[in-house]
Amino acid sequence: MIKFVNISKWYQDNTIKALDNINIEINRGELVFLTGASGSGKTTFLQLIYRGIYPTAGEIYVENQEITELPDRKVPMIRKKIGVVFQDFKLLYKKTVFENVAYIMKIMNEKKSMINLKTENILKEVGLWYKKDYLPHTLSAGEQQRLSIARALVNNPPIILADEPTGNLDFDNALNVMELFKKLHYKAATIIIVTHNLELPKLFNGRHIKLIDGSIVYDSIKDNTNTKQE
Amino acid sequence: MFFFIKEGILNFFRNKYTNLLVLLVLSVSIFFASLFYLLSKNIDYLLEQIKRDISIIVYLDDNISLAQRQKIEEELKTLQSIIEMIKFIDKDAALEDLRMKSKELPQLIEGIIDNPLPAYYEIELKKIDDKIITAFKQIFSNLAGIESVDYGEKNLYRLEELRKKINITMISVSVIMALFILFIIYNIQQLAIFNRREEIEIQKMIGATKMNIRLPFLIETLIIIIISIILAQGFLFAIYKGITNNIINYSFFKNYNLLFFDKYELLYIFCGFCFIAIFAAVIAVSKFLNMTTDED
Repeated sequence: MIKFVNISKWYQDNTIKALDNINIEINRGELVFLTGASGSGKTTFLQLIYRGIYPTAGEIYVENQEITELPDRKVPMIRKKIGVVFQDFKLLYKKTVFENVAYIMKIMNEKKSMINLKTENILKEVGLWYKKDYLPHTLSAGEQQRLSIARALVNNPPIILADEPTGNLDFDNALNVMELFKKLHYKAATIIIVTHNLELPKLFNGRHIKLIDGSIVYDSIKDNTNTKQE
Repeated sequence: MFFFIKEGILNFFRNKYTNLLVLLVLSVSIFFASLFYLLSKNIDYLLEQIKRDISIIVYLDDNISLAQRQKIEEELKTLQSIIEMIKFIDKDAALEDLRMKSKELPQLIEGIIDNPLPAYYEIELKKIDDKIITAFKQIFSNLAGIESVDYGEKNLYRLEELRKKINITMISVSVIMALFILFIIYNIQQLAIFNRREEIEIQKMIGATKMNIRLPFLIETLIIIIISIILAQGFLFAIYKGITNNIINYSFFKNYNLLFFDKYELLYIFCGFCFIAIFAAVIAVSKFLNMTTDED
């Protein structure tokens, strides 16, 4: 469960508003599509969940734990429960495709046989197994995106945050990736996907939250008639 | 743990050119720090040897009685545990000794009709220091038949002063070198972290703890410092061997051996430099991690 209570986020000495008094609950196992124009606060919304940034005001609960007051040493525990697909991939460019995916399991001291098995499975699933020994900079943007997704999904985290996961993919690859998310959704993972594609919520029957200027203007789970959707 | 050791080794080879340069600078620094420490040790040892050569000379009255001499010898017997050797030189032997020492100035001796030199005891001690001299002074001041006693105090104090000055200088130099090493490692690690800041940020975002991030840096530092210590000590030992093999022909060094570090000193040096290096690396990495946490 993810819960925002009166969350506001301002940047640059409180001069630029990113999120304005957000109150929302996302239940376990929900598939949520977060849409909105650039600068509407979508990425900020995700960053707050994995505590990439602090809110200016309010409280955030992840898996029933208030994370804004969480000591720094406990933040990795939260992050290990969250798989994040970053818009700019954030791959480890000195490590191979295989090592990028295996890294998180290695620092979690998983058994080598398990690491190998899980990494092989997820890389096969995203179609990158044959490039397991390549370095990320030798991959195309689409392949890097798939690698980023594989890394986020490999450990079956209960929460998956994806910032424009299909933004760099062609239609077929985008559909494949979305199928991956759907599979995970069936496994009861909570998935929040930031996208510009307004068709995705309908196509995958997910909850649709729309942000404009840091405020939620539409939430499909609530009364559709009581919205300011443009 | 094996994963982090592997990461540390990989990082070492990934930055091999920078690390080679660091290795060189650290090896030279450790070499000089060790060299000054070794010099201090050898000078200390040399002074100790010279001190051993300082004797207490007990000059006897010309008209000392047999009983008085026996009393003095009895007292000296009670001090056997700290005395290396006692030599009695009678008046004739003292004059003969002077004659031998004054061969180049025979006119000094020629005019002597009555032997003015007193008989004396030359006492070589196993160890000489202020306490022992005080103890001797107490004994001899109460004994009859003694003309005077030369405790070699002046030489002893001069040597002690010299030793103190040399030790302070050498220790200061060693400390400065150790601080220099700390400074180098701190800055090198800062640079390494700066070069890998994006990688570290990503590691943090996907759930790596501070220790997960710190460990490869510490292991990399440990590899660098261990190689540097081995190179520096190896080079120092080679120089030591070269010197000891070549100076053996000089008469001065026939009496005084040069020393190298014993195994415990080598262990202390090894642990000391490793500690300094790890300490510097921990500060550098922690500073960066705390800084980025604040930025979050």
